[in-house]
Amino acid sequence: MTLHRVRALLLATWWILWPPFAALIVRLAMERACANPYDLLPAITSNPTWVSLLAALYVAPHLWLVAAYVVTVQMCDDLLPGPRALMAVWRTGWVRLALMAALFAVEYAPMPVWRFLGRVVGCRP
Amino acid sequence: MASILEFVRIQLGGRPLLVCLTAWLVLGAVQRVLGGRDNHKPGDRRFAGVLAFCAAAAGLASYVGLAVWYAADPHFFDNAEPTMPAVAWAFHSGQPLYLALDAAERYSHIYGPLAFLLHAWALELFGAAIGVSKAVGAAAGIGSLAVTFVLLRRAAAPARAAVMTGICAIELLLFRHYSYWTRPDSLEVLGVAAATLFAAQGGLASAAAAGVMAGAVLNLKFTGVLYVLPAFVLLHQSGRWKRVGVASAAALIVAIAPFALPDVSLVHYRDWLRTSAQTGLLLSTVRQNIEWACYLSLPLLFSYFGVSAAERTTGNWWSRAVLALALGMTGVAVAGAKPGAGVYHLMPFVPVIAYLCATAPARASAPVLTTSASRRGAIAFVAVAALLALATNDQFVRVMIERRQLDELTDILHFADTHGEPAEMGYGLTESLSFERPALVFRTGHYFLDQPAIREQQLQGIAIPNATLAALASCRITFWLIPKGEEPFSDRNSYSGRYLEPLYPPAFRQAFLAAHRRVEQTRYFDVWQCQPAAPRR
Repeated sequence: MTLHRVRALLLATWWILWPPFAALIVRLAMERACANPYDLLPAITSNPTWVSLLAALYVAPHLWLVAAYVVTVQMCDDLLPGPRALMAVWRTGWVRLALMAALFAVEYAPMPVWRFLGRVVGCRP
Repeated sequence: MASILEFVRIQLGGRPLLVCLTAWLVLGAVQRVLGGRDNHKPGDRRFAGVLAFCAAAAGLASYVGLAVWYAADPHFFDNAEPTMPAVAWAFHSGQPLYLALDAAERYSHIYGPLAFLLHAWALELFGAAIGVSKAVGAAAGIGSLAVTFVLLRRAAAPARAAVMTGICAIELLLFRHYSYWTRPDSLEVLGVAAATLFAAQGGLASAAAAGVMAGAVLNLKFTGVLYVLPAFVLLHQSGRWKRVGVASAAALIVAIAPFALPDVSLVHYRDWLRTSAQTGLLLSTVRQNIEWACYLSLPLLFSYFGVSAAERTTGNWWSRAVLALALGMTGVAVAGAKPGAGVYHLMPFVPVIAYLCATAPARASAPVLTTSASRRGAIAFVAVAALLALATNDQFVRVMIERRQLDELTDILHFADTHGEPAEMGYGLTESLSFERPALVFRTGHYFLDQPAIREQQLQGIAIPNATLAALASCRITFWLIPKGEEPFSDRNSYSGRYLEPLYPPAFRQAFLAAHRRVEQTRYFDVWQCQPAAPRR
């Protein structure tokens, strides 16, 4: 499979992955800010059936981002591609890449950020 | 210094990828500020090589030193480590390895039979002692590095292979002592390294040997198959499906064979696996596992994109092996997110990643890390690994030095020598005082209660059965050693989901207190003796 095909596949699957992942990340952000950050969505994650679906929903965008990064690096031959290289490789699709990256920035934000937000919102003592 | 390392361990220890990416970017910024000078001079390259060699040598020396130091003392660090020799010796003495879910004895775990059999064989061969069991783990850890070196030598010159093995040692030290502890993970790292080595060698006999190793890894833990996927890609590359078939057959035989032994029940093992699968996952651990998986895979990027395009491997097998690795790591990142699991499940991938790094250049003598970004990335990776390994092991060494001040083993053995009747280690609040419990099992050949098993079973929703209470009340065990001054069986669960729930239900504690009296004290323990109920008239 050529890199161009992989890129096209990634752009097409973005529409399937991003909306549910975005909803999940927002829900997890609320949990981290206002509830136990180490036992997220306990009602779902303790159910073996539901947790499998949730894990797939959570892991698939990670694989998407890793694949997108590898495609980018392969196409521009730069391990740390800048904005210009991203736009050159992804053309108009860079917006989708940026939106996915934004979700990961939220998901991987350090814990003090969530504690602070929880206090600001007033849902954390 | 200690407080800085403590800060690093607590604040940065769980975020290696973010720390490494930050360091990578900072190094780039520093280079730009300094005028974008890139060290392409032969003298600079030699200096970088010497630095890498020194770091690798320090990693290897630290690893071997720590493993030998840990094995040389009977104290354990982790609460489930003593379980291995205790269950192994109980099995050797005739107790079943996997009990029914409602059996009176509570020591069954979801580790495969080989995890215990290897300890049982070592204890039989070298004598029943905690040191023997710890030596098994240390030998597996050090052996896995030796096998990794031989594996890397297939694709790299001796100096490069040695440096990469040293970096593997640093990476393994990130997981504290888990790669040389008595639990099955040390054996898994060795098994995966050996399976990859045999798969890389080619030939039918090597394929069979790779299969034997893969079967052993699968038997140790049911997720073992995920670790050997790249090895099977190697087998396919060297001999197509014939060698894959031979290896698969060998793996299947080795994985199943231990269940043919008496007292190793496949049915009960399946039951424990099933109940374990009911515990669900922790999403926070999935995230952490993914972050670690990405961090551990970074060297692949630096190795592949760090050589010129003309020097990169062109074999399809390499990209397939990387895909197999990604599949395996994804599976382990999810499966290793069960409560009580964690990032250390990714450890067996370290030798595989190292081998794929070594084979990323098409020629063994090809210059590596030729681009500035890959060099900075490699420096950031090794520096972060070294820093986090130092912080993690600083805590480990401090805890072990503290534990070494105590001499519970002499106390326990003196008690066993002076009291003829069955004695067993009980549990109070200080679980570490129960870590020498295999010493009593070595004397009696009997094991009744394993607190790590009880903790795990509570998480799975399995209550302590009435048969256990009846066995307590009927004085199956005459003497219980409970940490001095502590309430018997008063510990609580540490797993989220059951956090701080009492490990032992009130009925259990009542049954114990009704049938036992504290009769004496040793240096470290209260001795509780079972008092048989008066016969009815």
